[in-house]
Amino acid sequence: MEDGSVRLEKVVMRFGDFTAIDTTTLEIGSGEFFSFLGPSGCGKTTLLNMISGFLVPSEGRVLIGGEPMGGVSVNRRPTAMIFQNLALFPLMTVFENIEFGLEVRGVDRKARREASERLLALVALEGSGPKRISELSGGQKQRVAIARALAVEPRVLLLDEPLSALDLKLRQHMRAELKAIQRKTGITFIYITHDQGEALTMSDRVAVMSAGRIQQVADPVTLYRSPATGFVAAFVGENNRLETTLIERQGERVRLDGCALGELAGRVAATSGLHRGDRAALYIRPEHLRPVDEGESGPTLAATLEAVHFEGAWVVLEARLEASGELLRVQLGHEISRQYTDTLVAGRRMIFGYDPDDAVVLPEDGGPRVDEATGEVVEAGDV
Amino acid sequence: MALGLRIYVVVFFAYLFLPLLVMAAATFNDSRFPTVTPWNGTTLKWFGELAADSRMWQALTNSAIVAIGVLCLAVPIGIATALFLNTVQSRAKPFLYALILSPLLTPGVIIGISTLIFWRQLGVGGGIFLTVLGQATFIAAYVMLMVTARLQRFDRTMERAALDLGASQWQMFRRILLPYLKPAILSAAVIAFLQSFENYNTSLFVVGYDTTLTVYIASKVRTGLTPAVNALGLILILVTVLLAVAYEVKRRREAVRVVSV
Repeated sequence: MEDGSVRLEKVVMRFGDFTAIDTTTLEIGSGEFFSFLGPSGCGKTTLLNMISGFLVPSEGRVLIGGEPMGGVSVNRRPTAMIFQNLALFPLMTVFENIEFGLEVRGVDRKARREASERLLALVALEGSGPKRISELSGGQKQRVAIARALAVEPRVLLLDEPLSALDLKLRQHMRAELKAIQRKTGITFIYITHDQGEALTMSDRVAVMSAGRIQQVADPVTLYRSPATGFVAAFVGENNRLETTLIERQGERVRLDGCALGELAGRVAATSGLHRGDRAALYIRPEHLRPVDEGESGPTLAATLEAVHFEGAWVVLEARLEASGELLRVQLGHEISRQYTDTLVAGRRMIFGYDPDDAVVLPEDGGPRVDEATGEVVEAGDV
Repeated sequence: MALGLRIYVVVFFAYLFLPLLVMAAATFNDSRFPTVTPWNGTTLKWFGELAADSRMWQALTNSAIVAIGVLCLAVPIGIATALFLNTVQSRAKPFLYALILSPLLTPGVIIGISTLIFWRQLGVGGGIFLTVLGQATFIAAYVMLMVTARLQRFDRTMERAALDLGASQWQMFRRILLPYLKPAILSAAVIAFLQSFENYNTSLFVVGYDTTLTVYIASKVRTGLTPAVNALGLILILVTVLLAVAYEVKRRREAVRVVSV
């Protein structure tokens, strides 16, 4: 297997006065399924275009397989892109689409046809070769786009939100299929999405981006369990954010002063620079809160129910904190909510507790911690 | 349909086709002048006379040569200009656009005269060569307009996809862009041919001794018009209508094929 690693070295992209990508350094391993996750306009597509060669970085450089890509044009890079709108060639058949990359490389007709037959089998579209693009369904077009990109045997496959045009069921099915194809081929996949579900389910690692900066690079579980910045905590999954002051720190465990909310507790990263007296934000996920009895030991939050949303597998509660007036979102699983079936009504007073291990504490205005010298994001647990 | 609109449509088509009908009818009148009154009896002799007019045949040949020459020159120039204008992002774009369209707005007489004056300086006199050059200046602008109209609807990600898959700019153009533009280019070629064929005012100054059909007919007005000219007009109309019908039939068949797919 050829080296499909991608390295961004202090890459900066500016359009006039606008900085689309701030100094970014990142290493993506060969054969990795790597995702860039962020809201639209965060710069993730710009990064992808720099790797594919459609954009030349204002500063820094891009290496693929250890080779610098400066001066290497789009059509000479060992990458292939799957576009958001797929960009299949409508005047060509499925065969011609898949074989296009080989045709322009001068591969003879017979070898081309063999390759496209093999790829059609890989994406489960045997026999569809002579069809026109307009005869295919959305999912089939998706597969042709994948086959066409794989035909040129790229070391890196770049995917620009390719599933966004599909309906929910098909999207979930294609996730599994993409992941399977990635495993089978061993090609580095770099995936762009604003859909955290896609990023979390498929990726080996995810880079969360905001405003031209990488906020955190981590595997999906770490990303969810230990967000490194307030942005990640708010963007990935849901979180209740409470403002506190740190009272005491013992390793990763902290005691917090929640002001009117009383004493709270949570967990900080070992590398966190938070100290006694610092302002800190406490993040608790809705599914980590549970109803407890009055007087229970550990941190508790008293609130009045405002709304109850039954969502089938779970129930979402919106409750107003008595002490601060902030809104708290609580998600109760089936088992727990059943105990309260008839009594979960607006106006009811409830006390919620949580395990401090599930509550992440971050500096109040914390952005990503970036090494000024290398431009690399310093990850929690790295030092 | 409202009565007013019906009347309007009838009047409109009468306005369009009555002169043609009168012209066609005059072809069959056994009269020395192209007229339908008085009707001196029905005859087909003007077709024979037309067939025997060798200068007419020479003029027709010249017109065809010029039209093909214009086609070969104006279509590539028009395509290239459309592609170029499509890539220009600078503030000069409206200016360039106006510059290329200016021959369309310039009276044909002026294009003819200026072409002649310019090439005289270089020792080239009027003839087929100058006629082709003179006509191509403004016919290329038509081609550019038609190609641009289609080019603006081209999804540029196709281009990006082709390059990303390893195609060179030329390969992308030949395999992706050109097939996409083909319908517009074919239409533009037909328009270019017809525009050239029917041109009179520019040609008049640059034909030299290589008289084209329009110039020849106009000269006949001076020397004495016979219904033979009507016979020619009738044949041209019939050929045009036949080609238009054939094109429409072909287009509908293709439309049916696309729908049934």
